[in-house]
Amino acid sequence: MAEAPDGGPSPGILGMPRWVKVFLVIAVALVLGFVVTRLAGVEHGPGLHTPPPDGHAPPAQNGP
Amino acid sequence: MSPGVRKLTLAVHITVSVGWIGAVAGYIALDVTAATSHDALTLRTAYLAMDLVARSVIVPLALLALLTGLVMSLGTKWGLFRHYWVLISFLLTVVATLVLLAETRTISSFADIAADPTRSGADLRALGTTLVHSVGGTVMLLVILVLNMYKPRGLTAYGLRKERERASPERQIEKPI
Repeated sequence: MAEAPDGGPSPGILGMPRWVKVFLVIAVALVLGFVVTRLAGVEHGPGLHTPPPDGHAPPAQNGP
Repeated sequence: MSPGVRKLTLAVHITVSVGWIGAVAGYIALDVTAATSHDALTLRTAYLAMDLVARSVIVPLALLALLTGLVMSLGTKWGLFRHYWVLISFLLTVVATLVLLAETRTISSFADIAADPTRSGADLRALGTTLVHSVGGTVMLLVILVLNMYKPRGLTAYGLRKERERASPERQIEKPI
């Protein structure tokens, strides 16, 4: 492991405990997954389920 | 921070944090009902209750948990930026609170529609649920809980520097100002 000039463990990513690195990998994967779904056109966010302001839900595509 | 104030703040912090998880568990029960029920009256009641629980219980508990967590970290030896587990807990709490505040808008819009007597059961069924966020939020809160219980080792770069300064105070005296 790299050491700081005064002999202690170096700060920065090499000095991180393993559990923090695992945590970061999971966090980055989740953020990437979110970005990819956004780029793929999957809508996300508040208000998207709300029917339009004309007062009624949109009709079902395959409904009678 | 004096020991008495520290214990009181810790008691409040544990109460509101665990209460936050419990309130979200109750909210998920309503969310599942909204996702699975086909009865208009049940859906109407579920959406109105979800709004009430979110705005009156979950949001205040989340803000209090964030505030008391900040006081606990900044007022004790743990600090906010010294230990990875404190820093990550804080960041996760901030993210969970921001998503919650954004989600509250969606829940309120659901409740407004559910409160409208002219809306049919089909309108209410078309609203959908907030299950992804509520379950995801619960997982996040449980991760924070585990981090706070186990307090895994690991000092940040800032924490290491502070530890070295504390271990060798004479170096600070020798440093040129």
